[in-house]
Amino acid sequence: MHTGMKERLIKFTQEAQKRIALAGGSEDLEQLRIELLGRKSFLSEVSSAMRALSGQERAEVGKLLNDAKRTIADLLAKKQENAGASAGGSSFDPTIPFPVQPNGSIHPVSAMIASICAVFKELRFMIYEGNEIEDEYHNFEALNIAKDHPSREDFDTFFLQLPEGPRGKYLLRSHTSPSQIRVMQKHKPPFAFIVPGKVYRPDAVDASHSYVFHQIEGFAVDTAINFSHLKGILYHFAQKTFGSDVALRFRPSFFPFTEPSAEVDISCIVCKGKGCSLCSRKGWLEVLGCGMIHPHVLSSCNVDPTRYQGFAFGMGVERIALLKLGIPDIRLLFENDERFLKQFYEI
Amino acid sequence: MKFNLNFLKEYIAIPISAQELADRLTMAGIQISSMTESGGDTLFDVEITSNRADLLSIIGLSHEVAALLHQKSHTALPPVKALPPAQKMTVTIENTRDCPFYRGVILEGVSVKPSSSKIRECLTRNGFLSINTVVDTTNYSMLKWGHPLHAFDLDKLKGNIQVRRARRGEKLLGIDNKERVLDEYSLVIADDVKVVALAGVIGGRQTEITETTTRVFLEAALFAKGVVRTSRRRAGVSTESSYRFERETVARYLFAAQDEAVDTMVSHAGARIVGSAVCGTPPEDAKTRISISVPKMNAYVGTQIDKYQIQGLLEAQQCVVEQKANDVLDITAPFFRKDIVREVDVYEEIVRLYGYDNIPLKTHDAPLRAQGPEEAFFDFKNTLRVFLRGQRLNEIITYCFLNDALVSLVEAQESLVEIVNPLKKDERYLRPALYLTALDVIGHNLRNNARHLRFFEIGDSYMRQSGTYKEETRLGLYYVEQEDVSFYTVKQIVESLIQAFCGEPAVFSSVQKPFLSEGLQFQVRGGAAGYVGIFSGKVLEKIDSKKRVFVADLSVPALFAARLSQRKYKEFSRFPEVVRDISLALRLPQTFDYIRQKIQAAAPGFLCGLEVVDTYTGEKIGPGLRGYTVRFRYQSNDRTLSNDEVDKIHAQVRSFLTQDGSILLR
Repeated sequence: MHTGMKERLIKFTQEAQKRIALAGGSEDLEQLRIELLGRKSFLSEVSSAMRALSGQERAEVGKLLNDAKRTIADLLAKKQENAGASAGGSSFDPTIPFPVQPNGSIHPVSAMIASICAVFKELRFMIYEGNEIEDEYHNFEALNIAKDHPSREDFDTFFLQLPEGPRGKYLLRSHTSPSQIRVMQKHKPPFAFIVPGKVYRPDAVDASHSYVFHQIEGFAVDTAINFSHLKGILYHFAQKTFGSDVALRFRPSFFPFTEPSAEVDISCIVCKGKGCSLCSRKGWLEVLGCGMIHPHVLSSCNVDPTRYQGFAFGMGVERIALLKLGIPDIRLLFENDERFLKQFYEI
Repeated sequence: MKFNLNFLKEYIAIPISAQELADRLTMAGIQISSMTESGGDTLFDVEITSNRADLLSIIGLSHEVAALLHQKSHTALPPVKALPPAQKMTVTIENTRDCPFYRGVILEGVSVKPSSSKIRECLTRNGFLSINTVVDTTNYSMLKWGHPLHAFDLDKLKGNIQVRRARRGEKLLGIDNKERVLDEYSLVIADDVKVVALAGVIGGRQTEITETTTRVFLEAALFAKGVVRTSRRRAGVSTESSYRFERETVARYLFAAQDEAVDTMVSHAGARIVGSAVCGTPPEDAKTRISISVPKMNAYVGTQIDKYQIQGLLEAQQCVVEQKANDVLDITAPFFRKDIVREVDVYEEIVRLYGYDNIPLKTHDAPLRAQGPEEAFFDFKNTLRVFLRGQRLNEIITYCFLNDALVSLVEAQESLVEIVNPLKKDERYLRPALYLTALDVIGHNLRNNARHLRFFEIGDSYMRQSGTYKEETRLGLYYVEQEDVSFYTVKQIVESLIQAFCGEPAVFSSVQKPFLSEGLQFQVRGGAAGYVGIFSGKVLEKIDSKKRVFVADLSVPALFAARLSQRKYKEFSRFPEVVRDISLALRLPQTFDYIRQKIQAAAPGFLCGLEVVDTYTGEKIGPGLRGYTVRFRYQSNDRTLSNDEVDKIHAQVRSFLTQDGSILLR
């Protein structure tokens, strides 16, 4: 085939130029384009036949081929432009609303978790994920929540019909705090961890409660970590999550596993503290609980509380997602309606 | 808890507005969740944390407000009333761990009337119904001192009083008109013949005070928090009384509350004191002395509070503070502060009064020293999410509870993990597989005429396994059949996911599962990784789907283990591929797998890819046959293959495949 290939290429190009010059409307041009440059064109044939050529010859033919392609394509493009202009418009209509492919999405709760964890990873926290099935010791006792302590009321729990383990009955964890114990039993301080995960509490479902939800727990233990570091780190988190103009308020509170303990409010993201319906006219929104890890918790993990100290904090992911994304009802998150999910390609 | 401002003002001067008071209390950890003004008074709704039982009374609140406002409260503790012992009545306590102390006061000549307007108004403001002089007096005393009392109609009690565990099957009709069958987990007050009250929780209808009551047995006791909690949970009721006992009342206020109630009944209801029946040890509120080092405290919190300032803050809370050498302070908390027992409790008290907002904020110099292995699993799951979003799937998150209607789909029902106390009767098990909870989502979206209908979920599945349990993270993919969606769409996603993350193809083989009409399982690097299939009609029935639904289920830990954790460059061929197609046919029900195995056995040189570009059955090919157009790709790593060379190899493959007649050439 390659005999006279160069000559044939040159001839083909000349003929092509003539045909383009004579071509009529843009429709003709499109057909011509396919004929001259398409998959079944002479040029395409040359292109596959070239592989069989030897080095020197192949280089020459290759150059001619490329020149031919470029020349023809340029001429076609120019002609196309002119044709469009002279006909007062092209038959090509780019404004047709072609069916849009719906986008995929990451669930807002997953996305929220990823984004919050990323903030803490920047601060050198490491990620730990525990199991959802836990035992009484890790969910309660080791966290200084004794059996008859009234605060167990706040941690109503689903128990599981499984043979009792070495550390008590099995249950679905009612918070992510058991991970504090798991980490401290495994690693020696200093450390800083962030623990995202699903938790379970047998609460009645309403617009702001769900019996399955997600928490993010954070904690750091070292010899000199104190409450003012906790404040600083949470302030950094709040700014990254809710914007740099956010204000923070720490209120004394009580959790069995921290002391001192605090509830943290952010200035209302809607009214910026002036008072609106979202914040019940208070100007503040409760977003997380925190404190210095109780010495009992450290000792139950064989961490010497006279040498080490640390802080811990925990937040509900759904609560933050609802606030940040303006979702009015937690049930929307678990209904998994396509029309809802699609809105959150990213958050 | 609710309290009204005027009641509080009887014990302390409050020179600031109600709003200011609410703010001060909130910032001291006593959160005012709402306040309403009416008739010159303000009613506060306050959240008392479970460690501060001392605040469940007006007296307790007045101490706190006094400390915050640097005022003095008028709340002197009256001396304990000396009462003659009762002659005809005794109290016995079965176990002093359940009830360390009990004092019943016998009153006679009581005339039961409506209360004074002051008491009535006060009770109503605080959410109580005004009943009569006797009952109102006990409630008023409880509001004031935080210690619950109970009044029995003495004429309806038979014999002596016992504080004991209930016997299985004993019954009590409560003042709420509900009859409860009791057991040994509940603590009761009983006379010689019957149970008369659930101790610390609720009284009995049979012995309650009525308009005809003239003799009263007034109970004040200490009931252990654990047993009160158990009793009231089993009884399914929570009362003002049980709420306080569960949080542990201030023992010393028991006498104040009871003595004051007795005085009121004497002065307002004509009562005459007969005597008291007592059992157990009168309560002592222990005083703990705690030493703290001021520098240590400041290092713990990150403050620089002066030791004299600390002394001032603590003394306002009625702590006794002694300055010792080396910046050490000896602190004795007041008897009503049972929450202050350790150094950290004192630290908290100091900063609470100092103001959390005054603690400096250190943003970026936190000495965080990370240690331990980087948890890559979390990142891996997020990368999977990003991949699947790119494939235009929508992530779902479902509850992990299996609906009873779906239990019949479960293969190994004995491996289901059951919940002891399910919230809903028809959600008794944890899901053993993700698809079981995703079905609901698919059903919901089909009913709502959704059109996209491609979902994924990353979540845990739970199974009983050899005496314990197995919790595994799985990835589920779900596609509802559509014009551009077939079984192969799902299979393709699985293949490209595994290729992308593990750098090698998945190996498929057929599998039977009761919930699949067709199924393939697959392995990655020799390990089982999951299955892909079409839901059986039985499954589709459950969600009323007329369309087929395709599913894939992958073990995320298996993928994680097989992933390319460290990617290394592999040289690739820069020479052109040569493509050759063959049309072949198989006798049904043989599958393409047979051809693939044959090709593998033939092991043709330079074969770098294989795909089926067309399949056909029917008239064109004849009955009992299925045709395939198979595309072979050949490529060398070091040169351009010539047509002749490829033709030769390809001809060999062709004759190898067809030599035994099981594969027909077309």
